Amino acid sequence: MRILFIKPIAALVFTGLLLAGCEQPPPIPTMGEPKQTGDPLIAKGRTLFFKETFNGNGRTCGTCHRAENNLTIEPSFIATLPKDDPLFVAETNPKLKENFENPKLMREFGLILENQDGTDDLANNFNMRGVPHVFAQGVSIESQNGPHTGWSGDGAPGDRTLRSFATGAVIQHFTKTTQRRAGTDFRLPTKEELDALEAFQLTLGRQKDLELPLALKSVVAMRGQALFQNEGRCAGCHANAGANASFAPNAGNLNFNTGVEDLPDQPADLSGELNPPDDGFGNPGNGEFNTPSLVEAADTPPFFHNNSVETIEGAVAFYNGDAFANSPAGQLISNTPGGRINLDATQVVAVAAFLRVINALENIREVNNMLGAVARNEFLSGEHPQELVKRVVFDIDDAIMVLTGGGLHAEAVGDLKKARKIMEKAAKKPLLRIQLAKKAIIKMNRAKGRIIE
Amino acid sequence: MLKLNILQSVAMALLFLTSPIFAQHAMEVAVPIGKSPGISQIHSIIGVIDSVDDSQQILTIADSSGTYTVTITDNTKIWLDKSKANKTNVTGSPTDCLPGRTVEVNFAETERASSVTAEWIKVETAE
Repeated sequence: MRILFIKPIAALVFTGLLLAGCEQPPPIPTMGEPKQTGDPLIAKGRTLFFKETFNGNGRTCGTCHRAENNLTIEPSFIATLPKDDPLFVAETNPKLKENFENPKLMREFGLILENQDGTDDLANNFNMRGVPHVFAQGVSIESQNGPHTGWSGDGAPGDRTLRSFATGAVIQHFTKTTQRRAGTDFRLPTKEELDALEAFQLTLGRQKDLELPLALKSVVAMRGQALFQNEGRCAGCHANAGANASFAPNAGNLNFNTGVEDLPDQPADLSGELNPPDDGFGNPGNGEFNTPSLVEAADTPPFFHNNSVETIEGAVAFYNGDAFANSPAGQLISNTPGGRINLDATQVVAVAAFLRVINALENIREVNNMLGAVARNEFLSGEHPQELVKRVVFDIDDAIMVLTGGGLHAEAVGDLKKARKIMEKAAKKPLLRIQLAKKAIIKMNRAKGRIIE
Repeated sequence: MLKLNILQSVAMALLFLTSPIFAQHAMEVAVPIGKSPGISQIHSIIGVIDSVDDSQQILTIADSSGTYTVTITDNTKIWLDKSKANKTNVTGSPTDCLPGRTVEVNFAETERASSVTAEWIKVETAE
């Protein structure tokens, strides 16, 4: 019996000794569960924002404010969506076929129907507006006259705060029918849900304004910054390229009539579809719209409340034109030293280059924030690290797009592409995401170092 | 830095800082009595119309804490809350403010007082 046991045991020992002399395979990476950090209210708000339909037509806040598309939508993104996406309920729900959206204007120009002047005459009393991103609201909407939400500053019912905005959005966009009956066509958000949605939205994007001037390395962007601050008169309404005015103390966000509605040949008008004039703030409106932040502009076209201008260069050039010069805001500018804004082509490009560069820097900041969470194996504002990995790729793409579109910082673009490649690998190999995120941060910082001192 | 002379700065400030303080969002019409976010139970009175003066511009309403005089101005929005009848809420008028009807009044004053001016009034009705 002893011999029968000894031989197999000896074989095992012999095999073990052989293997001990061979090269060991690399250890299989292990990763614990990501750590839940931060305020659970924010995580709840994220879930509500992207998943809660409020018993309506299937839409959520995220239907228009897409996580993977800078919290907005435009025609090129809309074209990628399947036919049964809730964005297209007006095409699939017979009860919403009339007076809810205009599918042609939505698909071709990214325009959404709003009844901000009332619901008594749905067929004629509406306006078509683009979807604004919702970044940096904590530093963009406060004013001495109360919060300025939405495009014209009167976007929220109730106390008009960002917290209350969701109530108006549900009623306008989530309804099952155009009767808009609370409890039947949708349910209203609860107080706790409004708290959570607000908390989440305030985490989106920048938490503070830039401090211009920045020490940019592109001579064109630097010149653009100087024009922005001086001859262009941009900083008066867009202090630090944000959404607040600088020409009056603590003015905060202000509304202006800049004449966008007077632009000729607006794309939506060329379509032949009914597109009533938009009178802005109030009912009847005063023609004023609130000032958007410019840091986030370059990768969130089209521009202005009616998506009438497609490129950042075109948006800058708007202020050279007659529509602006003849507007109330333009008339005031014309009475300041320098007179009417008059930037030549190269100067328009320079200002646009400045806006492209600060947008790329903002994308880098946001990406590094997300990569940091991935590297620490933590949730960020309720978002799982593997979801962050996917978003990182989108935001790096944005940075590449805005720099390439302006012919800027080719070497930084090279670093960004390397970072992107690393994170694409992380998207396919979740177990490697921590170490890959650390490598990507190095590339992102190298890119940043090529753009700013 | 932006260079404006002092007079121009003041002019711009006066222009842009005297914009209307309040502009109701149109979707408020669809919010039933008692459900206005940040307004109901905070900056409104919910009660029953006691009486209406001949001009139909002054209401007396009563709630559990007392009686209030409510002034309707040309800027006051009046909506009919038909939500309990499962109907669409619509725009109303002062003539819809009838004794016995439940109303919610969003007042313009900073604090609730025995006499207030109505920013908006929601009138509960099934008709």
